[in-house]
Amino acid sequence: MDLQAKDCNDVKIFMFEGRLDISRCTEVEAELYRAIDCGNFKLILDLANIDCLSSSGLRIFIAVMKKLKEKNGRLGLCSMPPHVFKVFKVVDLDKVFEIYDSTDHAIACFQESA
Amino acid sequence: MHTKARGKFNIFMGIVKRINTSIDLNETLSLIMGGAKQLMKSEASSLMLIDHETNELFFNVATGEKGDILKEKRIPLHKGIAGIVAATGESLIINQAENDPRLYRHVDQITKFSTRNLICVPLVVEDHIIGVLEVLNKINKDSFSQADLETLKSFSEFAALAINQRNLYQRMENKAYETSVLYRLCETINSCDTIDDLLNENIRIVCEALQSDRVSIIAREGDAFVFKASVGIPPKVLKNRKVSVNENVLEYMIRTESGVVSPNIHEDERFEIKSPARYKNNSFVATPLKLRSKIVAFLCVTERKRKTPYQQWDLRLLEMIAQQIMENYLHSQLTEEFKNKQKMEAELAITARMQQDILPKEFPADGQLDIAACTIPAKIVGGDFYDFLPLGQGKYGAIIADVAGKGIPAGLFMAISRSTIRVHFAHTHSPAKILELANKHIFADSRSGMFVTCFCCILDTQKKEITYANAGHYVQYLLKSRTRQIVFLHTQGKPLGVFPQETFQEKRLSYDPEDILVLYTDGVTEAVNAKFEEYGDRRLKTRIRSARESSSEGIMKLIIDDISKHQGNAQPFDDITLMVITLKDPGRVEAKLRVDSQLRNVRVILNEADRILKEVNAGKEQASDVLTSIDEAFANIVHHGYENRPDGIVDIDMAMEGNVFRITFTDEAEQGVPPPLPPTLGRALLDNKGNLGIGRYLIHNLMDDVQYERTGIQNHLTIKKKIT
Repeated sequence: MDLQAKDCNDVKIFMFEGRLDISRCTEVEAELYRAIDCGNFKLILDLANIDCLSSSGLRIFIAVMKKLKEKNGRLGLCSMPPHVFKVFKVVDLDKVFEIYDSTDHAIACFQESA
Repeated sequence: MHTKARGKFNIFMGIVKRINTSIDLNETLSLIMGGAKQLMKSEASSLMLIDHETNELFFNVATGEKGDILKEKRIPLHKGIAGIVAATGESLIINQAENDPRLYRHVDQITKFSTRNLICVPLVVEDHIIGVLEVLNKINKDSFSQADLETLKSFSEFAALAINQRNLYQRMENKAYETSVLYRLCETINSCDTIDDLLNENIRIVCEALQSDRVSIIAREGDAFVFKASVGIPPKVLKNRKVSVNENVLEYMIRTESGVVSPNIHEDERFEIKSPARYKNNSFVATPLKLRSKIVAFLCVTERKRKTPYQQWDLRLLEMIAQQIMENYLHSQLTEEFKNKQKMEAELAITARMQQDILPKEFPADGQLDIAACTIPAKIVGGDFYDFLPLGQGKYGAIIADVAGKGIPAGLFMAISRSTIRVHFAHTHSPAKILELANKHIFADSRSGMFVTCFCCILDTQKKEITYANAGHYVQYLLKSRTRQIVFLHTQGKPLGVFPQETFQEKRLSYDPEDILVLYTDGVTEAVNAKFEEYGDRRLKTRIRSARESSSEGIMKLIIDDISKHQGNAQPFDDITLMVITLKDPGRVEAKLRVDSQLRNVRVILNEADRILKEVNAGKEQASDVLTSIDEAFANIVHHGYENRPDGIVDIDMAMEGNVFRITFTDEAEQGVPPPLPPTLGRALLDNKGNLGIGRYLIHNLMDDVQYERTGIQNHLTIKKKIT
């Protein structure tokens, strides 16, 4: 599991790579919280290169989304491959998140409504 | 004023005018002498200056027929009229010189001059007597008058001032000259590459500085003195490089530890002249060259181009030059040493690189083995090594060894030992026999008492066996993939090169796929930190057991990083060598693992599942479904089965059965994973109702079949997925 971050104006983008298994959850969650605590309230998670995602991963996304809503921020999930989207769909969470087909699309939407 | 007096005054002023226009000291002195003679109407005059170093009076210039003879003649202070005047500062007028016992007859004898009468006045500058001025034999009269004395006194006052002024000027000029010479000498440090070049260049500067044709440096070489560098010495003399230091001026310098200046060596008892014809000019100046106050050489200068002989000032200049030449010599010597050291270091670096180069970097093993190895020498050239050889028919040889000692000797011995051991692999595939044969040869080569500890093993990937023998090396480790326990590999055995005849024990054990062989030298476990605490085998074992990396390279880096962390800034004492071999089974589509109930262990299980999925070319979605389900199943066992206790055991048995991937989890938790619940929607997560059930819900949806069974104290969860 590798997590890289980059900034695009007021939007922070995290790029996931590898398996987001339960042994990596704590560190990934901490990293995302750190970003929020630093004042990044517009987060985009690029899931294009994620190999597998389990409920522990979903739990992080939900927790981050809730935290951002408190701050009037936004969370966007992008570029999900079908096998990842499937997991969202199975547990009926596909309508709960803002899901975009690309990071560019997400950034554009974030800035349009701002 | 009387006409006579006016005439005298005019003469006086004329002389003064001429003196004032002269800059050169000698010319000034000549003018003073001539002036005194003319003014006093005397047959001769002389001027002597005091040499405060030798307490002598010396004739700088004398006029009259015999003037030249007197030049540079020296008389002791207090001797003769001049001596008395110089010592007392009182003028003397003597009109019956023939009978006066105070007269120093020596000078008259040399010059064959007969002194009848004389006036001698001191030359005084600021209460300092610098010399005396004498006029001798009043022309056409029997005696000098008191008036004459007064006139000469007045003249001497003026003369003393003029001399002092010229002296100051001369001294300044000398200083400037000395400085320029020293500067030129300093410059040669940078322009000359070798010590010989430097010395030759320096003596060329001495030639110019002292306006001389012959300069030599005669240096100590063992017990003798030889010409080290020279200019103008006839080849005949140089041929016999050795220079005698018996009863000659060199011996005198050794004895007195000081330099020599001689206006005429033929009249100087310090010189033993064997072949007078060698010198065209009789003046000589030389000084010893000292290193830490010991005479190591002489700097000799002869054949002055100018007619005037060398003076004290020339010796002082030469002494200064000698000091600078010595500085240059030392500097050049240091530079040469530094260059040699740099060259040595460059050669050492090449040796180190060559040594690293002979250690294999690639390990061709047809996917049967995943190997990573490295060695970090404590000094540039180390004594540790590892080796790896494919032996054919799925067999591979692996060696790790540690040569006693460090640096170049250990490095050389390492190269010999490595080749020797390597050669014997061609004859036998028995590690014990290889060590026995290698020991014989290494013992024969080890004249300096060097020895090498070595662990030698052969990995048979067809039989899945490790055969090993040990020559005084540490216990080596095999990490079992299923249990994550470490098996020790060790046999008793002496290091290679200690005894001529030695036999070794051999042991054999089977391995399971994904077992990891860790070979290391004592530099690993004995790596110390700043407090001299060793890294230790316990920490090494813990690190190996906790490694969740999927490659040997990853595990090796993990251990090396951990050692570096332990060492901190402490200087490494010993070479660190590590070889990690993961024993593979390519094409194997099953795996059995045993792990503790800790979340991080999910990675080991996922690594294996991933490997099998790749082996059967599973699609991305199917692979993701399986991996996600394994993650959920293991998380549930840890969280809900063992309730986060870290010491529960989980056995995982996975295998492709036809086109179905089956994974069975077996645990001994009191509370087994409950039977499948009715689907709980993910929205439960949103309501903070926890994720109980969502994992199982996911498994049910992603996998084709989920079975739960409890037998005795064990819970079995079997999940299946068809791979198409």
